[in-house]
Amino acid sequence: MKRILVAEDRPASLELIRTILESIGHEVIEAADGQEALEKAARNSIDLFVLDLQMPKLDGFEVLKQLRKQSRFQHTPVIAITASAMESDRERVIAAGFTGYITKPVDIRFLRSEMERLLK
Amino acid sequence: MEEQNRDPAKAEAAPSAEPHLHIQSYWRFRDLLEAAPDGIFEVERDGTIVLLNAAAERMFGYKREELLGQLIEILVPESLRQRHHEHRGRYAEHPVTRPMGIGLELFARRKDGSEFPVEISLSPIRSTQGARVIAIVRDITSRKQAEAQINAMHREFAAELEEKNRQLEIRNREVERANRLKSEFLASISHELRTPLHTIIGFADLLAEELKGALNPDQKRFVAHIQHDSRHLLELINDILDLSKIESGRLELHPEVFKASDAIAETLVGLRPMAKNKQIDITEMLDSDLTITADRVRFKEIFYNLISNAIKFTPEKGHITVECEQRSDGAFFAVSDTGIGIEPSEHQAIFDKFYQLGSTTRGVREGTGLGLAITKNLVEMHGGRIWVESTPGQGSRFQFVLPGEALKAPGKQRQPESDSCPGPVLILGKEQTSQELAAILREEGYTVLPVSTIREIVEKSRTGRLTAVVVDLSVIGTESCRVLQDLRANEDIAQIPILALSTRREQNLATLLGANAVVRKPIEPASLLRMVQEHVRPWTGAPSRILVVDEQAEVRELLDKTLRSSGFLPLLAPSGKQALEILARSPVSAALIDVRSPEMSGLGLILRIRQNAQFSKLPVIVLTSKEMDEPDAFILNREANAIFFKAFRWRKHLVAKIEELSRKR
Repeated sequence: MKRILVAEDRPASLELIRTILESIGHEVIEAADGQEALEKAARNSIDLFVLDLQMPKLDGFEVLKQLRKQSRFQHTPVIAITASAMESDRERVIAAGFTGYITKPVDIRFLRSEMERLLK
Repeated sequence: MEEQNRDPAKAEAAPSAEPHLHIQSYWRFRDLLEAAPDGIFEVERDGTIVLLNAAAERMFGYKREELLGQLIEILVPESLRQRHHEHRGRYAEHPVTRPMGIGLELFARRKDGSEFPVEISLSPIRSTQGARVIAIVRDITSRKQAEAQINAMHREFAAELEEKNRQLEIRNREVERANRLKSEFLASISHELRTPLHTIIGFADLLAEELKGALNPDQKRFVAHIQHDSRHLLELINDILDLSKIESGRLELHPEVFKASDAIAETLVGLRPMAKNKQIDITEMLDSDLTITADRVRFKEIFYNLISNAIKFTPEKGHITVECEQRSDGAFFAVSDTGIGIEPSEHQAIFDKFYQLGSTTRGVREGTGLGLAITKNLVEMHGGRIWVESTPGQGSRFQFVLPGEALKAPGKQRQPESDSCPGPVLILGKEQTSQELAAILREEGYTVLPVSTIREIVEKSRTGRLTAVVVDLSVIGTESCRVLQDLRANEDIAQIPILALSTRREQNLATLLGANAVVRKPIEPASLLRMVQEHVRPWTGAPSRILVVDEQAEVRELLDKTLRSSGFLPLLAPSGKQALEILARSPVSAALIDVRSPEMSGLGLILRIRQNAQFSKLPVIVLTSKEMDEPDAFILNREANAIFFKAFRWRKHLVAKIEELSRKR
């Protein structure tokens, strides 16, 4: 059982991911935007982050950058989740240093297997 | 003689001075002379004018008697007189009928001093009075004016043409831009649409899993409908994205060999329910032996589009027929229906984007209007063509042909290479390098293809076997490591030897590929320490951790001792793999990496490290032995098979390496 922080500005999407992650036995901390994600990360020990790329205030890329500045999150897996299916965005995500990449609509089985892989 | 000429009347009246001259002929020729439109002069050897005609008088504005006995130079503009005099002298030496001053612009001078352009032709004549010259002078003022006008008009037209071309250019670019914007718009719309679909599909799936409780049969069915239609919606969105990709040339086909009838049958499985709803029956007339080479997924997409259209536009209890057969010009396919049909005037237009035929049988516009546009594109990408035959009220028959040789099956189906016919070697490099290398390789019997971009390499690797690729790193510059990686990431290139060429002997290859500094072995502890201290950003408090990667135990020990003595904390790794594991677990302040190592070269490791954004700034110091400068290779773990510095005899070594690597395959 690990603690996962999910940052996503649409409540329905947030609930969807939370439900899926809880169904495989993890604890989920929710954040509605990048700012809140960083605040909650400061107050909790997090094992994995799932960040929506397009969020108001601070987007997924920014959050990643801030997280990596902190020594305790230097090596924490951070997954990007996005509705974009463009190759160029995918490359951008990889270049920015995300650990993994998920497209919306999410394939539930894929998400589960990624969690398993990264939280061994 | 002079007396005679001073008085023209007298001259005319005294033909007897010319004993053999017939009076009638004389007058005949006299009349001719005076009637001539051009000025005619007879000039003595010394330049004196002895005869002129009326046209000459008019042209120059002199009376005859004013010119007779004068030097011809009186008719020449002052500035040109000297030269004319000289030319006259020369002509006299070689008198011959010819135009005067070929290639020169000639000018004459009138009595009033004005100058005008002329054409002059000269003829020597022999008379009893000695050698004389007949000069015929034509005033070409009007011709020159006409020429000038034509030139001016020509220039004007040319300018207009250029202007029109320029505007056309601008228009073209606008059109391109509009197309691009449209494509981008499509891409962003698809993005917007996928977002809510994400939760629709997601929750529908969760419901279907009965995660939060069992569902009764009705509920299960309801959820199934939601899943089905939401996925269908997703397909439509993907269609839009596909189309924008096709249009910007970004869609790739993955050809396979398969039975057309199988693929068509699979497509029908998904569509039969839709047909059943309208009580439409689908008849298959499929040649089960027909095998084609095509992108299976896209082929099914073509049929899905055609058949679903047929269903939409056919009223209840109608019929649809699906055919496939081998014909002389290729594989032939058809989807016929008993639907509402299409006006002949629309037979071409229906394949346009966003073109929607009136309305479907439900009186509703369904779909995005993109299906046929995509279908057409897909057929054409396979080298085929698609068309429709239809009469309004009597149904439609969509047909397409895929030519036999359109697509080659992928590499797995290739025959093993025969030695007599190696694929080409691609060279990406500066012109001189490419040419030199090409010459040498061709001598050895290789086909060589110089290319100028990485993209060309990728394209060519897809369409045929390559023996090897040679990349001059100085052409790619500082992007070298990323470019090599991208190149390797391509499946088609994975097995092809890539040889990297570097001109920079002073700048060590390691630094070219991302290291910060280079240290030569045998290691001198003091200078190593200096180097490390220079590059390491110190941590406050804890000792700085330094990753040490070297396959030799003695070296690791030495470095361990050396670093510890200066207060660093070394983390030792005997191989690249373990180095990466250490990096994954602990933050380090610097890395010392030996260039050679069995399973992952130091350079490969550097590339791998730099690939991770976390480590883009990590100081990396490379350890090398003196041999680094030799033109032989360092294996770059799949990124490149060999690296050459352009040292003495590098070309021979390069060629030898290509031979070696291509034989191994």
